[in-house]
Amino acid sequence: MGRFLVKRVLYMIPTLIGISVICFIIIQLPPGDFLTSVLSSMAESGNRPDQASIDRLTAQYGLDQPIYVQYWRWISGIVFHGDFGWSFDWGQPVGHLIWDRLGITLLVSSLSFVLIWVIALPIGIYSAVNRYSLGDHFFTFLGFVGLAVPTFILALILMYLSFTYLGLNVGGLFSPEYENAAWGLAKFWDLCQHLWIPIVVIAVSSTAALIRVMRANLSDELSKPYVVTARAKGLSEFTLIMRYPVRIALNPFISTIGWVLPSLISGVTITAIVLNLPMAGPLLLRALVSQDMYLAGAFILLLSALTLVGTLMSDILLALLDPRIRYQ
Amino acid sequence: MQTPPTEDPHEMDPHLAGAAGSATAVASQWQLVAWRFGRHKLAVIALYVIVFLYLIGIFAEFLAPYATDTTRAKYTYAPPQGIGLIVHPPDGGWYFGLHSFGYDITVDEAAMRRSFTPNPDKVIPLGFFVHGEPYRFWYMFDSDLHLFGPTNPKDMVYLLGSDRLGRDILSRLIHATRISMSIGLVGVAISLCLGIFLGSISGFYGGRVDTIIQRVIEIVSAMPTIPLWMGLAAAIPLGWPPTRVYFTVIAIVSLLGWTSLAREVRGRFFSLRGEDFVTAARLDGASEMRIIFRHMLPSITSHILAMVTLAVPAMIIAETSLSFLGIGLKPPVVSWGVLLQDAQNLRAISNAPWLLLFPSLAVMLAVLAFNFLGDGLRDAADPYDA
Amino acid sequence: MTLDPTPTLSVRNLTVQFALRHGTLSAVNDVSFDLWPGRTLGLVGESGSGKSVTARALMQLVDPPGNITSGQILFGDADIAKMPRRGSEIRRIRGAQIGMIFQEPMSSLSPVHTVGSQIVEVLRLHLKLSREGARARAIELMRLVEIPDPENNIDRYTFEFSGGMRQRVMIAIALAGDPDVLIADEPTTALDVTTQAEVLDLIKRIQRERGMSMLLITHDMGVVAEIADDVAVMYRGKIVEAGPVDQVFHQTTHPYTQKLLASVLKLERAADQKKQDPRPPTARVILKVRQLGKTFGAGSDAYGARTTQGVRAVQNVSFDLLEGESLGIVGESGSGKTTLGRLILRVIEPTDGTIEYSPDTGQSVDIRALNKAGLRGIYRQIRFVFQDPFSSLNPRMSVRQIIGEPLQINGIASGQGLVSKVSDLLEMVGLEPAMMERYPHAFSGGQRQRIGIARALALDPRILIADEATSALDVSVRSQILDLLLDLQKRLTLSVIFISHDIGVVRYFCDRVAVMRHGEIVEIGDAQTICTSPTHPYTKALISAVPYPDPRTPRMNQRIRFIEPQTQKAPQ
Repeated sequence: MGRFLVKRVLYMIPTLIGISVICFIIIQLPPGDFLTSVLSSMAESGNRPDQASIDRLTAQYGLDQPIYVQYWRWISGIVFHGDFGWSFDWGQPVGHLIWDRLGITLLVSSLSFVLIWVIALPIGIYSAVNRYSLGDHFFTFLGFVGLAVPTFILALILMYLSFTYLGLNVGGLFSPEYENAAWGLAKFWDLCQHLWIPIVVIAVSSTAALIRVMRANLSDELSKPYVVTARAKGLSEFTLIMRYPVRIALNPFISTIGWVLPSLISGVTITAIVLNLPMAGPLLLRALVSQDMYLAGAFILLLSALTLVGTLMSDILLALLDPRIRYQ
Repeated sequence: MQTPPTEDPHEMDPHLAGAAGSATAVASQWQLVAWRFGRHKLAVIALYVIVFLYLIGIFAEFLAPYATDTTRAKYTYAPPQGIGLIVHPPDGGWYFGLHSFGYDITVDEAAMRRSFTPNPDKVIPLGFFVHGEPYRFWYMFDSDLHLFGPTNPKDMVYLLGSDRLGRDILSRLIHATRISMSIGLVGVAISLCLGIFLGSISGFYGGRVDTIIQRVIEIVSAMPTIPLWMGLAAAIPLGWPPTRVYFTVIAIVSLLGWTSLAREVRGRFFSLRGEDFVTAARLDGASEMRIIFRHMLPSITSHILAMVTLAVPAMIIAETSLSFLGIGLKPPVVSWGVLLQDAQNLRAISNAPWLLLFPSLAVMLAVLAFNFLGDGLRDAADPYDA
Repeated sequence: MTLDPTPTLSVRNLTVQFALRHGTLSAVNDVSFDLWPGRTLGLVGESGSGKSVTARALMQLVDPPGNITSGQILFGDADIAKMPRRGSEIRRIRGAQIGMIFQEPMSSLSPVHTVGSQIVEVLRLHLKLSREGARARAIELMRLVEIPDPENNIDRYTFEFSGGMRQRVMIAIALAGDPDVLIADEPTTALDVTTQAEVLDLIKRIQRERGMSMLLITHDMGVVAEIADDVAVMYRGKIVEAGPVDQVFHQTTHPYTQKLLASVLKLERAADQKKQDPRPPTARVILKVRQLGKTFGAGSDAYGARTTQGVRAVQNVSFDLLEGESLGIVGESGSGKTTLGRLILRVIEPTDGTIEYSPDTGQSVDIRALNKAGLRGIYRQIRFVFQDPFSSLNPRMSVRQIIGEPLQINGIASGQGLVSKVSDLLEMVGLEPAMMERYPHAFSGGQRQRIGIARALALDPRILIADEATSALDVSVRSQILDLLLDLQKRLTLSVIFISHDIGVVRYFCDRVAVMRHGEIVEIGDAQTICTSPTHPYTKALISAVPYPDPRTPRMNQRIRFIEPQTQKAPQ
């Protein structure tokens, strides 16, 4: 098990490097280096930068160096000093801007994830065990619809519905009166009222997908010989289905975390933009539009790293559950 | 371990057992696939829906009553108009005639908005094959014939409502169908070429080539798509011409779509490589090209078709999302996503819900249809697995 | 043994039907039999005869769309046929009063639960034992089924066990509830011959000791002859013949049983053709294999890291193949025989040794030294017949395309010439030329194997390598295919390397036999000599383990066990 863990963590490193390279490419993509944009924005605000400070910035970011040196400065700053660069749009270090928003992003994603599992698992089991029943057809259809609605449209629709029918403005995380209030039960309740929409919105499409995964996996397992063996032991149908096929169908289900997490983070990003939540999404969009590339790069890097960590956790969980992997 | 003789009641399925004597005996793969596909009613319906959507895209100019940029400032946020069949003229009596009622417009100064009430006295006669705004069809033929519209070209009719500039949503939606549906198709084509190329190399050669390609796929698919797309799309310079933006967006969207296709193709190639009939082909003296193209590819084409169909919705959603965020396609190009851009804030939606409703329905219809079709194809893809 | 006057379980006029899309199918049709205490009933039949469905019906384990539509299964005072499939009544019988052993010991056990927990479950459920009591009893049961070191093995997973050990676990599960009736559905079909003998011994011993009634489902007449007291022969859902084992074997009445026994007994000796027409001993050597070896997985892995020494699948194999002879390669699973077949044609690249091919005209060549073009030339001379008639034919190509493929590739025939060549080939293997437009799915297993043979013969080869070419087929079809091959071999003076796990088939077909074990040839020589008086202890054990299809000469009693040399490890 320990060996497995070490191997798995080591295996992650090249992937992380690959992701950081892609992020760095994105940072470099806009025409001109960021110094150009700094200079133009400084010029706009009226204070002409002197040559000395231009040289200082050039040296600091290695802009006169080859591209791989620039990459190395950027990545080593992150890895060794936690320095994600400077946000010119905000005039602050990137590090000051991202952590709060990533924290809430993580919180909402995790809650959505829990919701997805709590819904998808039992429905998937039900659908597989009662294949082609009325309920199965109903959930299958619902799943198709859930997959067909893009996350942001769902967010818009829910926003519209809750505004017209419930009179709630669900944008943001808090109602204006609680925005700056001290934490208390009332504020928490207000948060919950705002939080449920993004959580549900983000959960829908992955839930639909996972129901189908569970249904397909379990249907396969239900026809396996070991189920007949269990039945021949005299176990009750419920016990044997939960103890054997469900237990085994759980493994591929867990490994879906690998693609559920990226899509969850995607959903969280766009939903936050639509609902204007203080999460990574809106800030990322703003950074991209204003070409505040270090900020944007940091977000993309960290959001990707988040999914990698999630995948690592799912692999560990899988190894705990499945001796075949553990004993490799 | 030896293969034990099987005893499966399905082996005795009279349908299969009798196959030797029936038409199935000489049925090729595609006939079998078509037969199986025909049993999925929903998938067949979905196929018709998709054909219908593409026809709309192809004949957009002819089908849309107006061009995408025909503005009437007077009709800002006009709600959808109904269609009537029986006209009651003010002088009494009635007659049959396709028509809508014109609007009486009052301006609410305080709320800064116009309100529209249909006036039964302002009958706008509608008709088929009417002459209206001139257009150039497919950059080639000039015409002013429209399938449907007001018989008097000066009249405006908003069957699905209008937007901030008084543009007809129906016409814009029809034009947007061309862009959005074609993005799905072109994007998938690019993904497919990349996916098949890299997937088959990976699957056929295995070893180190395979490891490298797999790692790249892993890295790309580990990254959340929306932030990555945003990062790439945001780099499109603002000054680029629309067609260039269009193809760049397609490229970005398909750049990330190929991974799952490549993974699928690779998996299929791997399992096929071990099949005895592929070894048999090798022992028949077949060259590697012949093995790939004559023996292996035909076995996976039906699966690829299903995969491709299932990949289209992701492309459509990706384009829609990017354009919605304002970093994909931009006006004057119209796509479903561009249309939804107008429905970005609560104020716009609550004023004019049709801005959200109709483009959303179009997206959902297309995505749903592709999903059903892909599902049906996937079930039919392997007619030999009984 | 005295006969108890009442049977433990009586089946009366049992019918099981499957509702299919095109009507109903009676998989089991009006079947009646009794199980007596302390006796074993062997239910034999070929695939599709309905024997497995019958076994499952006894425990209400037939899944939809299958249904028991009429008849009774009388067990004690109860009629199992009347019990609902998921009810508590039948659940009290399953595992407690009737135990069942399944065919596939790998897939019939859960891969993610320890073997112990799968045994303990039954003990807790039916005997209401405490956790500790159940564990102790499970260890006892594992000892009973001769699993070594049960105290430790109880906490292991099935994938850590060999096939034979897994089947012992299966038996322990079936015995855990202390049942009166044991149903064994092809319990040894997936096992090697020596393992089969040991598992059968074990089942028989336990059944005797406990005085259980046993229903043994099998396709193997030899197993029936060794184990059963009574026999029922099933054919197309019906029992066509039943009675004490001796009577069924020696006073056979039904034509189907006669045919079945004839085809089984036929494979108990060399083919008649062989006796009439012995191979000329002065034949030329056509293929000379020396020190051939294959080590898998040696060297570096995909990341460049050094791995272990690798697995030696085949090592130091040398033999000569004479012109016109058939050489059998026999061995159990993992002996390397299949790898050997593929090494000769470099489908798997050998790591050591030479393969020298000497055609009757022209130079000898070392196949290992050839480039791709040269190897294609060899592929015309040496052809391959595959084991699995389903996977070896491309389902997407018609028979004409499949057989025509080698002709086309090698530029031998095309267009009308190709059609007539394919017709000739089809006729040669006993198929209608009119069938050539059909696709493989329209053919039965035996017919498909004929198509595979036709494809192999299309290029007029000198050598045929047949890898388990008949093991996926039923007994009666098997002997037909063997006769076809014998006939073709004689007509075309082919040399054949015949790879098989089945000693009977090899003895029937081959002139000489090489016995393989752990990648090496342990003994090679004349087929009759090796099959009747082998010299190597492993061969002795192997030959003695084959069940003989005559209840009057049970072979298992004089079985020789091969004691592993010192190098052998634990039972995994």
